[in-house]
Amino acid sequence: MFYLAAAFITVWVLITAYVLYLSNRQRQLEQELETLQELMQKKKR
Amino acid sequence: MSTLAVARTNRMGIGNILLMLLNVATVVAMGLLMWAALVYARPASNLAGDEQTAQRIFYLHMGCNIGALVAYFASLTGSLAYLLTRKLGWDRLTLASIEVGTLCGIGTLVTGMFWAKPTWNTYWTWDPRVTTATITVLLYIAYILFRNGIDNRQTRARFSSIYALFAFLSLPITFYSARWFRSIHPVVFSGSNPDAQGGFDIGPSMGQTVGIASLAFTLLCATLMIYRWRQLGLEDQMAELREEIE
Repeated sequence: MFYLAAAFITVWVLITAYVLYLSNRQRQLEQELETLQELMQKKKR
Repeated sequence: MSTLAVARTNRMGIGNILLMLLNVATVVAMGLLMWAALVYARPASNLAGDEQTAQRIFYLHMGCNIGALVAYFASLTGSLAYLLTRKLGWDRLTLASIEVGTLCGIGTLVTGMFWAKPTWNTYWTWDPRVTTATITVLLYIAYILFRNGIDNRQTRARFSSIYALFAFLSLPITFYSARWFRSIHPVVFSGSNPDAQGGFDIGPSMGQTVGIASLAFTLLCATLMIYRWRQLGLEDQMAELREEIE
């Protein structure tokens, strides 16, 4: 039973870790986008 | 402005509705796989104890394997298409699929290790199949690291695509390793090597569960690849915009 549980848990941990990585990267990109927007507006002025 | 427009269109449109449907299908398929692997599939009647319980790992192992195969085939398509068209979208597909394929490749190795302990009495052995599968995963990890060392987008895409083409050669070697060499790894599909142990016939519930696992992991990989591909597109557009501002 230990091996079965360990295998299933590991696969789900891997999937969850990658999804979290994607969502963190997305958040970073959104922040960068806001910074770029501000920079562009400053340049226009 | 163009980046903002892209960001807005990313939040709407038929593409997003299809992606939402794909998300739902993936969640349903993965849930179905958990039920099928743990409840529906009948236990292997020729095994007992830990070995019989661990046999259920096979469904995840196979799913991860199919997922990696789908992703690596997508990387082959992406790298070939980039070399022919020089469009960066194909290079982004290659990177996205290699990341997801490597995730599944690691999943295949880890589930294999947990299955091997009660079956082979060891977590790890330098069996030809296990060794070639590990080399494949390491080759693709090296691809991800190698990319980061090149700044120019076109140069990076060109060298990475050539590398990905060569890395793909490790897949047929891995597939045939249990057939060509003396291997203790089970040969599931059309095995003819008498030295390979564990070629097996599977019952209907087991066969259906393998089918569900293949479908679920194909959907999962497709979903993750699409998300990452879109994210990489946004990253490239922002990099262009940053260059313009500077």
